[in-house]
Amino acid sequence: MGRAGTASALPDLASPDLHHRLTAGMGAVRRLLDVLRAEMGDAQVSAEMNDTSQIIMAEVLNNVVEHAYGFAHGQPMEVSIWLRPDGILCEVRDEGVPMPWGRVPAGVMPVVDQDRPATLPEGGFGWALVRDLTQDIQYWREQDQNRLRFFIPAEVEAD
Amino acid sequence: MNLTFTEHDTCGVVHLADPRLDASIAIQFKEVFRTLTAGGGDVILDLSAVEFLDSSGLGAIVAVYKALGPDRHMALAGLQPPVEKVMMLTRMNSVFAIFPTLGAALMAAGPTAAE
Repeated sequence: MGRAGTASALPDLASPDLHHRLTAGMGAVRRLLDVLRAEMGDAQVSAEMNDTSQIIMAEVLNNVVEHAYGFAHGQPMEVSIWLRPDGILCEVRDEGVPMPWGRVPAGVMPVVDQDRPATLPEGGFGWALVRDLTQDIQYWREQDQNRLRFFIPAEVEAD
Repeated sequence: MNLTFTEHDTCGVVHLADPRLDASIAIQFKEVFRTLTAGGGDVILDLSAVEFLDSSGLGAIVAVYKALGPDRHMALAGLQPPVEKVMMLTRMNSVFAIFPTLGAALMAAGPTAAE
């Protein structure tokens, strides 16, 4: 397959512990999240790690639906997950449009000022949550696909 | 989506019966919430049935709170661990009064609210 760059440095990428293909859509993402929660539970992933994974996967997968595919239904998505003692490695692939400027968004948590309710942010949390809860986010294009890989450490500092 | 409104003496309670408040129901949630609470007064949002909140769902909660206007309060009740985690990571726990149960929120709202 000629995988380039960081992909070849990791020995176990050929055989993920969990692997799913789905067609893009919010309903399909929601169903996959339910499946992943059950599978991780069966694999003895802790409840806290499972919750954290749900938060991250929901943001990443819905981002594909909304932005890579612009809500067009039926497009291919693929999720691979490796369960490791020190955390969970995830890779998400899609054939949608590239990320803006070819980068993962900066994901700075929006400012929340409880004394000025009218200014409270109603969006911009998604990538900030992903950045907070993951390590080593990598994004690249390969064979006209978006590839996003990130690691969810078993104990993460929430900042 | 299953959103209901119950009038109490000192406030109204909005209960979401869905297990996920996420991107797939966020817009509908905002619309129905605004309709249900149009009569005025303070509001408790009962999230005890909600197992999962994503950024779109959080945005919807903030939007309906802001739409209540400066003179109406909104408290949250019954946050499950994944929901509480998102509220804390985004610092939104500093914005809302948060109660472990709906009963506790009603007690705080006033002595006759629970009746």
